[in-house]
Amino acid sequence: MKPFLTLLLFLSLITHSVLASGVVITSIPDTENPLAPLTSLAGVPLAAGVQVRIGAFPGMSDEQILNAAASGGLAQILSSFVPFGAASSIGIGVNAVGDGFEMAARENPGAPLAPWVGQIVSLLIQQPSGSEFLVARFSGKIFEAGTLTGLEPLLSLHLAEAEIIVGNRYRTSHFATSPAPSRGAFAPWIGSFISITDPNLRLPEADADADGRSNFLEYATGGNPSRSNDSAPCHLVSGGDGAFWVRFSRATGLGAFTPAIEESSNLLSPWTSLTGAIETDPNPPTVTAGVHWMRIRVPQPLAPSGFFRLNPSSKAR
Amino acid sequence: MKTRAIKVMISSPPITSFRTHTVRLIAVMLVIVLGSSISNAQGPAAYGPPRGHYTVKVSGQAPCGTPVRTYLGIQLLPDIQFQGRVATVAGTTVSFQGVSSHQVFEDLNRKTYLQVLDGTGEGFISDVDEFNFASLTCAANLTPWLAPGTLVQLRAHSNLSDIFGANNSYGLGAASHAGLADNVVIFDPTSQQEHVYYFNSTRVRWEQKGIEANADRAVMRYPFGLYIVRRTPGTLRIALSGDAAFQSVLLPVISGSNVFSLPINLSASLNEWVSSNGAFPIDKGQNATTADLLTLHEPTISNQRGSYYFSSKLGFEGWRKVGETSSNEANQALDFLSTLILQRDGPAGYVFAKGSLISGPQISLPPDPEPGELPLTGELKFPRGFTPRPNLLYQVETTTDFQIWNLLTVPVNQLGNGNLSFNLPPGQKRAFYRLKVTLNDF
Repeated sequence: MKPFLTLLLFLSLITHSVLASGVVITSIPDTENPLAPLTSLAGVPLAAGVQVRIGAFPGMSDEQILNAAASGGLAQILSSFVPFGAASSIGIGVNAVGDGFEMAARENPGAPLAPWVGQIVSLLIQQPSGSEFLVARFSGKIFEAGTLTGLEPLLSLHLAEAEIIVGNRYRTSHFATSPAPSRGAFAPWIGSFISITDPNLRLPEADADADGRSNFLEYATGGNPSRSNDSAPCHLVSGGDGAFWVRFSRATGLGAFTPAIEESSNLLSPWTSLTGAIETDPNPPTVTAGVHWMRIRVPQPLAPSGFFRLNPSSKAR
Repeated sequence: MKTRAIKVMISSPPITSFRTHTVRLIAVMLVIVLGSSISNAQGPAAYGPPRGHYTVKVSGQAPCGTPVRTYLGIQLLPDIQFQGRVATVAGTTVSFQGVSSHQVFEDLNRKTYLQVLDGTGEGFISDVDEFNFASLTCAANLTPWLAPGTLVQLRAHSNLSDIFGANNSYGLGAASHAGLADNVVIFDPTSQQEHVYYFNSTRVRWEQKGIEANADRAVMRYPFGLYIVRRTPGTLRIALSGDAAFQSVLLPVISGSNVFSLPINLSASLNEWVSSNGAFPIDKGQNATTADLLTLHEPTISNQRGSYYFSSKLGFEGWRKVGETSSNEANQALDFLSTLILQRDGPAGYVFAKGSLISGPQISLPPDPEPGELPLTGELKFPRGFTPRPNLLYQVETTTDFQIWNLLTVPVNQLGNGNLSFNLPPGQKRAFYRLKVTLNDF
């Protein structure tokens, strides 16, 4: 009986051992994935030397990764990250620096089970100085365990399909690196405000300080849900040249937060998103650690009347 | 003390009918007659048809290591059964000009396929399902691919035993269970699953994993590829032998993974081998995720080349190697025995793979013989009915480029059945051989 069990165990091991696996990831835009060039938080295109790595965060949820980044920064992220294959960098696999990257990574481990097997495919983009980084994950895309006789698994992925966990995202196509987020996932963040004791007032939709901004809007824009007199996260300002800008704030590093500035002529007509370029506000109204002010130009010619709002659409709720 | 010699038959497959035999005999004799018009310093010479002999090393599993995989392109095939022009075609049915009975082409031991050799459907392949007196019935609708007058050929797919011997000629690791033996694997693109074969040590025959039946006639369907997964130690040498399949092929690509053997192309490079334009090009894309992804596995040095794709991005057009900025690999020589793994996300279609005997730059294959390796022997078969005579000199010539033929320097033995046998070079080599007959008393 014992030799039989030993044989079964042996057969089980060799049947499920990993032979090899490959992953291809690109950021080159195509018709289905109109990804804008990757930038830093300030909007500067990423340059050669910015490292790109494929890997996994074994056993970690998106929230846990975000919490790790908020509590320990890049160092904590690196300690949780299991790289897959060789690193690449911005400008590699494409014609021009600043035009993103395209990379292929392959592993052929001798160990029966590699730590990335069964984990979500993740991407880590890291500025050389370590000041800014980006963590993306490809939901539903798993590092497969190859079999001894099957073809080597090969995943082919576009960065535009990824969910940004740490980093800044504008609309759906513009990704930027960012410093470590000043706050982790929503639940532990709202839990840190001990003055908010009513569980109903801790919900994302609730407005604990009754300032007209939901807890989630406070979370996403760098506000304080327990203080009603903090500054508004969205302003309409004059540029001095006849132009008007909508200025808004966001908490840095919350990649799942995708802010959209929307316009309506009378508060009744449908809200539509402004489509102009979003850029860093050169004259932010306040300077607060972990808060980044952005702006978008109101299109010319100006309508007789207009109303603007910040829609903090996000999957992080 | 390994002295066992392995005989490699490069002769025709067993002839199953007198008519088939007659066709083959005529074909071979024609080659000899044509060759006899060529004179050299030794006098008139006649040549038999060239046969390919590749010796390939297949690595074994290292102690405490993981099993080792070797991809093998299958491009040396059974002899052509028929080559000629189409008389009529309607749907799956086709007949040939000048052929009275199409039943003579049936090979009872193998699955036969039809291949289109010219016209707009050049390279198209379909299995033959029925051999009738007046026509053949193929598996595919032929109407889009050929017309009356189109040049086609019939050839049999190799069987498992054609390549590896019914008795496991090269000593792949045998066991009572597929999970313990060396495996020969064919990837089925339709199911995206592999078919695993192994030599069963208890029943002393080839079997498919999970099926207790003799599998020595399992079809190694061309142009699909195969690979060997070795769980046993030590390096083996395998001789692939047969007729050189250099005719261009339309690779039937489906969405998902595809494993292909490619036709012989002595100028093999991406540009030369895989079409990026014309009627059946590779799927191009603006990036690697929207294009066909190609990986080439070279058996001799177990090298993996790629992944490649053809970029359609403006200013970026051409073959690219994923992860390299300025790749110039499109024109670099490839091992022409490479196996192609093609991954496609888009719909099924065909890709034109060009065969050619025009020699170009080739990669240098290290012979790298193993200490104490078993000798491999090749044979050239005389045409049936041909009686060797004392006043004729029988020699074997060899080439690697079909331009320069050299007399074989190793001894050539005449066997009792009239065939010639000779030792293949040590280590690994791709070469082609032919019989040369001259008058001894000229």
